[in-house]
Amino acid sequence: MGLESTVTNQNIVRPAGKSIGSTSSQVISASIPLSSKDIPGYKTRIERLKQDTRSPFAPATRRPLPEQNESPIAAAQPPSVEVKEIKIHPSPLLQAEKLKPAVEQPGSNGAVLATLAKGIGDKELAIGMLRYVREQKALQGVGK
Amino acid sequence: MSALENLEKLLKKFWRKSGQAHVIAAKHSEFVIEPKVFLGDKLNPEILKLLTLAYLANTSTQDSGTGNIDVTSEKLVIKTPKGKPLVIIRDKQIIQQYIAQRA
Repeated sequence: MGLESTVTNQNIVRPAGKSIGSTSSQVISASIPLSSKDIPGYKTRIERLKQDTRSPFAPATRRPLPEQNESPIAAAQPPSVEVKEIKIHPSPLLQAEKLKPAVEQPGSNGAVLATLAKGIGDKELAIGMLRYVREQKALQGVGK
Repeated sequence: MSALENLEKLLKKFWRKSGQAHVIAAKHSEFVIEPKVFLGDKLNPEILKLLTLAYLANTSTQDSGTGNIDVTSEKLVIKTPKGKPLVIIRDKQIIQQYIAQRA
């Protein structure tokens, strides 16, 4: 490695053991060869950095970083089974409960009230229910 | 008062007596939440449930309802004397209560 540089005597970088000579104010052009040998302790420091696994000079022993579009989890654990499609279905029991109400009334209001009035246990309410049924029947009769 | 209005009044009274009514208390007033008795051409399911519970509670002591009820572990059906289903109950708690009452 070499370095071509124009220097003045006021700002000379002088590697150890090299003599440039002294000038008063004139500009000199000099070729200063720089190598690892020229810097004291350079080689040992680089060797130390190479051994340190955290250093950028260390040999690439770590896992390569995932690609930009790849998820870090996918890169860390390649799937052993290929998943093509995921479908989520609610439990059939839950579906059945949602579809069917707790109390259902297939019969008409008149028929339901007439039947339930017989065993309701509240006389006043039972009479009210039967009156309503009678009125509804009368109205239907008029309608026909 | 028509039979419908009278029935609504009686059913609301029955609802309050059963302890189902909710009261919202404000600073100087209170609001009693009453159910709509009819929803479209059907009874309000909550009212129907209440009437059915009262009916099932009394059915063991009177004869009219006994033959009209089909019960399995899944559902309880109240039928007309001709066998046409009127009310279907799928509430497990009501079914178990009725089965226990009969036993």
